[in-house]
Amino acid sequence: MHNMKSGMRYFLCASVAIHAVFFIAALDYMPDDVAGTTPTLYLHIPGTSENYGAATQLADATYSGHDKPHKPAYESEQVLARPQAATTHRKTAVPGGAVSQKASLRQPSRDKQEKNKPGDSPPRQAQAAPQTSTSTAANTAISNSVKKQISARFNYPLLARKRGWEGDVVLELRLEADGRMSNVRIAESSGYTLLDRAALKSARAVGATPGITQWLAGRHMDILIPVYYRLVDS
Amino acid sequence: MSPCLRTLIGLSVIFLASTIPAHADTEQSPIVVTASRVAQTADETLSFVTVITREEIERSGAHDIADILRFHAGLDIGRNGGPGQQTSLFLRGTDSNHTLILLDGVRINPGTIGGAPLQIINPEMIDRIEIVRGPNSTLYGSDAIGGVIQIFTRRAEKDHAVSATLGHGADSAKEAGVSLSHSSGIYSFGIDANYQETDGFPARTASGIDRGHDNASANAHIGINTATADIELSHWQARGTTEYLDFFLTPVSQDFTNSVSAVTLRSTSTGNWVPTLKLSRMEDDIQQQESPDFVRTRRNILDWQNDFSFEGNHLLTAGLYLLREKTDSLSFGSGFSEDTDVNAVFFQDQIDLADHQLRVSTRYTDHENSGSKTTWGIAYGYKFSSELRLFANAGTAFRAPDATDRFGFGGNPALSPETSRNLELGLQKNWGQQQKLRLALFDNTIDDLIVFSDPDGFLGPEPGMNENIEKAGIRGLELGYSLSMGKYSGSIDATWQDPENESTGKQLARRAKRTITTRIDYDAGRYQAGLEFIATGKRRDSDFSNTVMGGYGLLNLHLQAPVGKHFSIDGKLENALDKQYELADGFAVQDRAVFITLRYQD
Repeated sequence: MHNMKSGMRYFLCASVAIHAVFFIAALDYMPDDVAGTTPTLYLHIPGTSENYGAATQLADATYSGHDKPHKPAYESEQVLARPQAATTHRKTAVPGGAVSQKASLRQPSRDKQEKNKPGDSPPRQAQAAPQTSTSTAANTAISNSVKKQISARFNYPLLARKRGWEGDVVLELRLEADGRMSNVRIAESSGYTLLDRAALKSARAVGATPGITQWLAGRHMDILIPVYYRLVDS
Repeated sequence: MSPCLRTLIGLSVIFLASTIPAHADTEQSPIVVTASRVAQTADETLSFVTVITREEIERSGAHDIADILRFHAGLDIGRNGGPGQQTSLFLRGTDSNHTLILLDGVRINPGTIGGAPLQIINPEMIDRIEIVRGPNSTLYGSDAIGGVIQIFTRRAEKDHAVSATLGHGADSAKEAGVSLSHSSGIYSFGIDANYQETDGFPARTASGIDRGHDNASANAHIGINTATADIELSHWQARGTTEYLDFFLTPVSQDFTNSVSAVTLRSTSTGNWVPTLKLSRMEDDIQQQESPDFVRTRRNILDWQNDFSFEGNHLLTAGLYLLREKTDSLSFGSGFSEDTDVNAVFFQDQIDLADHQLRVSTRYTDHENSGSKTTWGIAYGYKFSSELRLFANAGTAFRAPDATDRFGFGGNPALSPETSRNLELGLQKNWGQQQKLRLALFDNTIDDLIVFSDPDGFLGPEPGMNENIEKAGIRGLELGYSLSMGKYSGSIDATWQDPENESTGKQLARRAKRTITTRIDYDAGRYQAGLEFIATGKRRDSDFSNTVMGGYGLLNLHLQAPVGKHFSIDGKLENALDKQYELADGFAVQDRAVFITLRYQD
């Protein structure tokens, strides 16, 4: 009992057991909250440099000036009719290079912070030609309202903060015509299921987004919302 | 503001700028969720924690980490001479073996005798140091009576990084180091190598013979981040020679070799359950050059920690800890060779309920020789506002007798652990991002302290032996204040304490009742200047004598200037006032000295 040999035996047994647990748990979890191949609308959101408190301003028409370089966003029905290939394309067009769900690999955090510096951030690719019937102002209003609703519920899990975990989660969700949110999923994992779940939980806690039904004009809309988890030295 | 004081004043949710896109296609502005980085070793909101950053470590220009730690509240050091000489650290007035020192999560306190060898830990290898004051035996086990100091070695930070240093200074001190790292999404690796040497100065004031020191250190790590787990292999080592003077002022020397190797596996794909398995090996060797005497510790640890993250910042931790240690020693012809097994289970639950925070923890430790020990801790914090928090905590800790206590001089295999009980009240106040204040009031009672006892005297018929007979009580107040104004920052750390041996009524050796330290820094990017000052009161030299060492003031100055695009030059003036003071009676300290370091950063 009290010798080094038995110590090593402990080590080996525990190690085997733990590896098995890791493996089984990993198999068990992954497919759950991952988005399928539902075609997705890329909602254009104008560049903002506002903090949370000023978020409401973003819907203001004066901000549409930022939209000039961008193409208008797409109306939902047409986008939903897009071929599935578009979705696949999206996954390979993610900034930072090919971060798809299956091989979600994390960048080291500080590296990522640098990459996300203003002016550095590579844009997402559009997958289809714009065929707009929803105005840019409408999309702006919708997306900002939705983001405000979600971000009010965000939480950075204490464990992730302790471990120094940072990452980017892309949420996919559908806004029903009445402003309710449905089909909230993870479109791209951060590489940490703890962060993925926290993002998912925040979004799912939002029932309906008030004041957007007028903009939705009786249609539903699918949107992608990237969520960046970042730690700061205070 | 001093970067060492951090807070977790809640969470802020902001929208990030996405600015002018490179293409005219669509892009999305993300939601950015930011939060303060928190200390890994213990929660900053429920105890007095200091985080020393890489910037501060570089600025200090210190030869070893003890010279960095001494400028923080609650820490005293004792040192038997110059660089590389035996150094003791006293955290919150407790004994030098009452502070658990972790290097990358691995305990480096030797199993043979005394505290961790801080004098041979080269700051160039170190990224961050966390000082956690107060008993933390619940998560970390034996020795954490005064607290825990966790040292994190450097890790790859960006795609490629190359840096190098070349230094020269007083007493023919030389230093050369290189650091390379690379990181991509999947893997990262890095290696740091550094060599220090100095001719030193006479370690004892009664001698004129210089005592030199050399230390070759290396740190290497490989990390693999798969979609389901993070795997890391790491290795740190220090090897060298320290010359010193023995009791009779005879010049002697010893070789040291220390290393920590670890494999860490952590699942990232198991949702709210995050298991971490760490297998580590620590080695600590000292070999006397003039005789066959040596001390050696070999320790393997399996540390399996499971964190469960529930909604609302509810964090539950449970784990298993298996330690297998082999200690060998030979000293003046007598020695020991002992195996020790320690098994422990631990549990901690931390809940944040809006403005209330509660943490309870317990650990059951089964020590092969000194029996089982259950320690516990409870902490409560209340947030009055986003800028004001109070906390109260109570807890117990222990130190299992080391192999020398049990089998060395006066050895007594029947010794029990030393035990402690600590009560603490703390306050954390911020004024915006510019000013931070931390206060902690503590009362620590340590019982069953192990001392050598020989009631009938050295010449009496009964030989003396180590026994659990003394008691100490330490009450004190610690303060940490920092202020930041643009390019200027400053901090003040102060300690008022009464470290008393309650069995003899005397002040505990080498611990001052009052210490104040100040730091002022000017940081204009690549031009930096700073000063650090320490003033400390008188200290008794040992429990066995009435020698008292006077108080002292020590001032260090630091300057950094760029040389071209990639180089900078650092200058440090140590002991600028050329103060002759003592950290141990009869031992010398560094007099006024200049060190110049050329740094390259790609």
